[in-house]
Amino acid sequence: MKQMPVKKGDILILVLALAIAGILVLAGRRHPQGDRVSITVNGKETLYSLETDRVIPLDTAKGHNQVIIKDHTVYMESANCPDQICVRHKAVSKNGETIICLPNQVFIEVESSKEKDIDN
Amino acid sequence: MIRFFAKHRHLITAVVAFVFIGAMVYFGVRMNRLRDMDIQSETYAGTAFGTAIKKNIYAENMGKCEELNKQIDDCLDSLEEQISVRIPESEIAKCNANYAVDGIYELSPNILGYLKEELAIAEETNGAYSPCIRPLSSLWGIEDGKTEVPAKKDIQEALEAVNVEDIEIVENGVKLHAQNMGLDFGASGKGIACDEVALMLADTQIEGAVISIGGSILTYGDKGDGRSWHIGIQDPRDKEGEVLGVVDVEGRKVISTSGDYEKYFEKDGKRYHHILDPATGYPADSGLISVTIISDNGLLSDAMSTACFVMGREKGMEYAETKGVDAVFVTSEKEVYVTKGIRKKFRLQADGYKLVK
Repeated sequence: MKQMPVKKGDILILVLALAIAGILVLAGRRHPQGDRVSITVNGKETLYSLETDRVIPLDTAKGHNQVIIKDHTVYMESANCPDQICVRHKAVSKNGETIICLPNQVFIEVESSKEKDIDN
Repeated sequence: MIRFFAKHRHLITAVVAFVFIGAMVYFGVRMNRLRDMDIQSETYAGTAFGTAIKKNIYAENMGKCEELNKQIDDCLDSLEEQISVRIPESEIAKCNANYAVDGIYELSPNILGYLKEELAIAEETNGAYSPCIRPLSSLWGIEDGKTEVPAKKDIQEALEAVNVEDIEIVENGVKLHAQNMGLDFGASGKGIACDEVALMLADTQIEGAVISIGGSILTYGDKGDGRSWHIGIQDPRDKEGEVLGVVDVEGRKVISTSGDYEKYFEKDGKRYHHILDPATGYPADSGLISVTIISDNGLLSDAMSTACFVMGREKGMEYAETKGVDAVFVTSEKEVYVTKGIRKKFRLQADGYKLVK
């Protein structure tokens, strides 16, 4: 069969097909809901968006803690607890990751579309 | 228009086919993901047994997750109220406070069952494990935040009340043959809790769960996908909570880790941690910094992680092999040893450690 020269219409169809493929990929990536962080103090849970940077001072039964949400991660900036385990803990951002301040009874849990690679 | 289609029919066919195949693949992936979403998961954090509790629960819907979370909490609470030395009204605390030397002190059948298993471990480890270490652990008080090395004579005095031979099991209870003794399930209680939770879950509609009770982790069922669990073992020298490595386990298992990094204080450049050697009365100094034991039996897993830490690498590994459990040992030289059974299931991830084969 004879080779056909590329026409304007061919390019139009190709561009259209690529655009459709692009839209499909983007649609697949979109999260159904925004990523959140749950902070429980004195048995009371509050939800914050992980998308917005903010400083969260907390008054606990035994003292005070300060949580920071920054660049889609959350960490304990300071706490007056004796062991400081929560303050040393790395920033978390993946689904189900937690930071716990045992002495002051503060529980931080991430609800994210980003899954972690370990189950505990 | 017709001329346009006729002219480009090959290209049009190709493009249509491309879009069609693309759509099939895309929706195929979507459908798969949707099928996974039939199983809901929820994370809960809390405290019990004086430690942090974390539960990842997988069930058919959110309501079920909530319900299971409550059932697990109830299970943990009732066990804690029975065996914790921190609760003065617990059966164990009351026994310790009220027993008469050489007299019979009645205990519940489940507690006697645990105690029998513990005495067997104590015997098999030549006393590296002790279910009656309370007088010594309360003298050091490391878990309660004390940061002083006790006087030698006080340690010697405490040790007189820490002899396993002084525990005698009788029909409905125990006879304790020395003064000031104290039963203490501190080194096995979290594993016992894992066992009790697993037993309770067997009667529920749960799909799967990973429940961390301090250093003991229970895995149960699966996520609804039939795959194994990936359990992270804590890096004993990383303060940010990074993992040393990951081990793959299937179904119901208890993974317990004992390390010198959990509760300790430092004095004159020496680390005094909470794992006490019943033979010396001082924190175990066996060249290990962390021991992980993987077993179907939570009590065994928890108690053995402590026992093996005290025994050291060689004796500990040997004991683990004879008990048919899997283990990960980390030495102070940052060498990592694993038992044969999990060589293919353990992946070292932390920098600075060496896997010894």
